Amino acid sequence: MITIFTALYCEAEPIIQYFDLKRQDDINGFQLFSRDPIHLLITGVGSINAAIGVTSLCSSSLYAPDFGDIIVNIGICGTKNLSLGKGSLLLGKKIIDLSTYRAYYPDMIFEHEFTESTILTSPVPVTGSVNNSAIVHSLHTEHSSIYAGSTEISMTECAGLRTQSFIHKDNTNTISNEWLSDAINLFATDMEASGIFHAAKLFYQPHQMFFFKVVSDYQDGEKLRKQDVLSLISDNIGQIAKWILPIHDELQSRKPMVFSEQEKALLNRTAESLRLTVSMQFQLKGLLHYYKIKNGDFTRDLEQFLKENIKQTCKNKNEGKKYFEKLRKSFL
Amino acid sequence: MKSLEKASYNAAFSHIYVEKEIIDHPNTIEILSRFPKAVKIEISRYNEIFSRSNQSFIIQKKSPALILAKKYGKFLFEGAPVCQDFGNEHFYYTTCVMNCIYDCEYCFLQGMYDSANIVVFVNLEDYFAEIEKLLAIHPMYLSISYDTDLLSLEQKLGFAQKWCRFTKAHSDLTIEIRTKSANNKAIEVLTPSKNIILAWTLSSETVQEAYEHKTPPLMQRLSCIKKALEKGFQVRICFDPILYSKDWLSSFEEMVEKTFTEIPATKIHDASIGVFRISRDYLKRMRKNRTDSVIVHYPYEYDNGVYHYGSHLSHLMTSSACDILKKYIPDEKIFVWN
Ligand code: SF4
Repeated sequence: MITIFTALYCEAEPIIQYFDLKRQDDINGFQLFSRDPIHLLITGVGSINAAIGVTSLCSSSLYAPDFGDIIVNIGICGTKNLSLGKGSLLLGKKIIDLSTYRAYYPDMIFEHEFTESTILTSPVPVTGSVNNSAIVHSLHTEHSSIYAGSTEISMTECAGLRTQSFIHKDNTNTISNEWLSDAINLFATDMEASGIFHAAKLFYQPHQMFFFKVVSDYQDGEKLRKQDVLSLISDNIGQIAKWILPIHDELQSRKPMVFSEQEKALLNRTAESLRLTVSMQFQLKGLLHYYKIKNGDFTRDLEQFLKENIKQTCKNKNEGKKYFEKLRKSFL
Repeated sequence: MKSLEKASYNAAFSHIYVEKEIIDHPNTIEILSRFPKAVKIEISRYNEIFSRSNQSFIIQKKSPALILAKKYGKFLFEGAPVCQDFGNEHFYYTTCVMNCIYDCEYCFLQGMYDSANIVVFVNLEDYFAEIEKLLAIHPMYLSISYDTDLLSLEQKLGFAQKWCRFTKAHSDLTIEIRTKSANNKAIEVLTPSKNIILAWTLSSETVQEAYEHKTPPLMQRLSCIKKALEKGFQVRICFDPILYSKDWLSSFEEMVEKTFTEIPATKIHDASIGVFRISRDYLKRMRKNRTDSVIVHYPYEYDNGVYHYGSHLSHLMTSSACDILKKYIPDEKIFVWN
C-alpha cells in the first residue's frame, strides 16, 4: 500500500489522474481516492489537519499500514534559494516544526537523484527572518491569496506561499565546516510535513516515509493560481512514481514471515491435541517458525507427525509434554 | 501496480548526522573530510535519531547512516558476566562506537539497539581522561571494540590508531581490539605493543558465508592475522560464537586446521572458545527484527536470563572444540566460556 497525502485538491488532482484513482467514501470527512495499492487522502492545510488526516486513514482497519507499505507527502513549497528553479522537486531529509522546534528525520535509505532539503513546517504562512542560534522566528500571517480560476483561495489554506529567510548561525559564530554553509541554503517551507511525520511515526517506520516538495515560489508574495499548482505537481508526479513504486515493491518483498491462516489452524489443533500449556504453545510456535524458515513448510511434516503419534487428544498435560519433546527432537 | 525498475539502496554512510556540539571537534572534521560526497545533516543529540522507537534495524543495515556525537556520562563499564575476561581482574569495556558495518545474523547489537545506524563518539579525550583516573588506582584491561568492529572502520575513523597511541603511553593499560576484518591497511599503520591485543573472531566458511553478511571470508582474515603477527602484534583468536548445525564439528575442525596451516600456532597470544548464547531480552528483539533467520529462531533452551543450546549440547560442543584446538594451542592458552 502506498498512501499519499496532499494538503489541497489542486495538489492531488494530477496524482489522481496519473494513477487513475477513484473517489472512495470519505474518511472522517477527508476526501479519499484509491486504486490498489495506491490511496490518496486530502488533509487540508496545516500540520494539525495533516496529522488528523494521517491518523484517520491509518487507524481505519482497511488502511492500517504494515511493514511493506509506504507513506508519501506531496505538496508545493516556498524557498528563499534562488538557485532552485520553480518546479524543482525536493526530497525532505529533515523536517523542523516551527511551532515546537521539533525535528523529524526520515531515513534516507534509498538511492535517488532528487535534491535533498530541510523542510520547515510552519503553522501559518510566514514572512521575516529566523535566527537559528536561538531559532527566533517571526511569523506573521499574510492575508494574500491565490487564485484558483475564479475562486479565490485564502492564503492560509494554501501550502506554498510562505515567506521567510533563515540565518543558520549567529554571524559571530565561525562555521568551520563548509557543509554547514551549503546546507543552510536548502530550506523549503511548507505547512504539513511535520504533522504528517508526527502522526505517521505511530504507524510507519522512518524508512517508510517520503516527503516531496515542489518549489512554487520564492516567498516574495507572488500570487499562485490553481493552474500553476496543478502543473507543478503534474510535471513531477512521473518522477516521484518512478521512484516510489520500486521502493514499495522492495519493501513488500521484505515483509516479515508470518503464519498463514492454514498454518495457524494447524498450530492450534496441535496445541489442543497435545494439551499444551500457554508457555509450551509459545515454544511450539517458535519451533514451527524455525522449521518453516529451514524447510520452507512445516504443515506436511507436522500433519505426518500427528497422524503417526497422536491418535486422539492426549489424556493429560504430562502425556502431551512427552509428545511435544518427541516433536521437538524430530523437528530440530 | 508493479514497477519494472528495482529500488537501490544508498551506500553506507551516504548520510552523516552531526551533533551541533561537536561540529568543530578535530575528530569530526577529520572524519567528515573522508566523506566528501556524503550529505551532512546537523542534529541536536544523537538519540533523536538513534534511539527513536519503531525503526527497522534490518532495513537500516542495508544503508547505515553515520552519526557523530559527543559522549556524556559513563565512559567505562565493568565486564558483564557473559563476557570473557581472559583472567584479568580489572576487566572493562568501553563504547566509543555503537554498531557495526558488518551484519552477522547472530549479533547481539540488533537486540540491544533500536537502530542500525552507527554512532561515533568523537570526544576520545574524555575517554582517555577517565581511563587515566582509573589507572591511578589499578591496572586495567579494556575491550575497546565491544559494540562495534573498530578495525573495519579504521580508514574512516582512525580511532584504532588513537587508542594504540594512548595505550602505548600507559603500560598499566591493556586493550583488546576485537575484529572480523581483513583490514591490511589498518595493520600497516598501527604500531604493535605488548599491551595491545588484536583479537580476531574466526568462523567456519559455512558460517561466514551463511550468517556473517558483509564480513571478509576466513582466508582473508587469516592473511590479515598473518600480517599482524609478522608485524609483532599480540594476536588472540576467538572461536566464539560457535554455532550449532548438524555438521558443525567437521566445519569447525576444517577451520581450525586451515587457521594453523596459515598462521603459526606458537605465535598466538591465546585463544578463546564459546558456544552461542544470548540474553533473553536481546533474543526477543532479534527475533522480531529477523523473522527469517534460522540462527535467531533456533528453539534455544532458557535459564537465568540466557538462551543457549541446552547444557548437554553446549558442553559437548565446547569440549569437542577444545579437543580440536588443543592439538595446536596449549591448554593454558585456551579460554573457555562455560
Ligand atoms: S562483526 Fe561483531 S559487532 Fe559486527 S555485526 Fe558481526 S557480531 Fe556484530
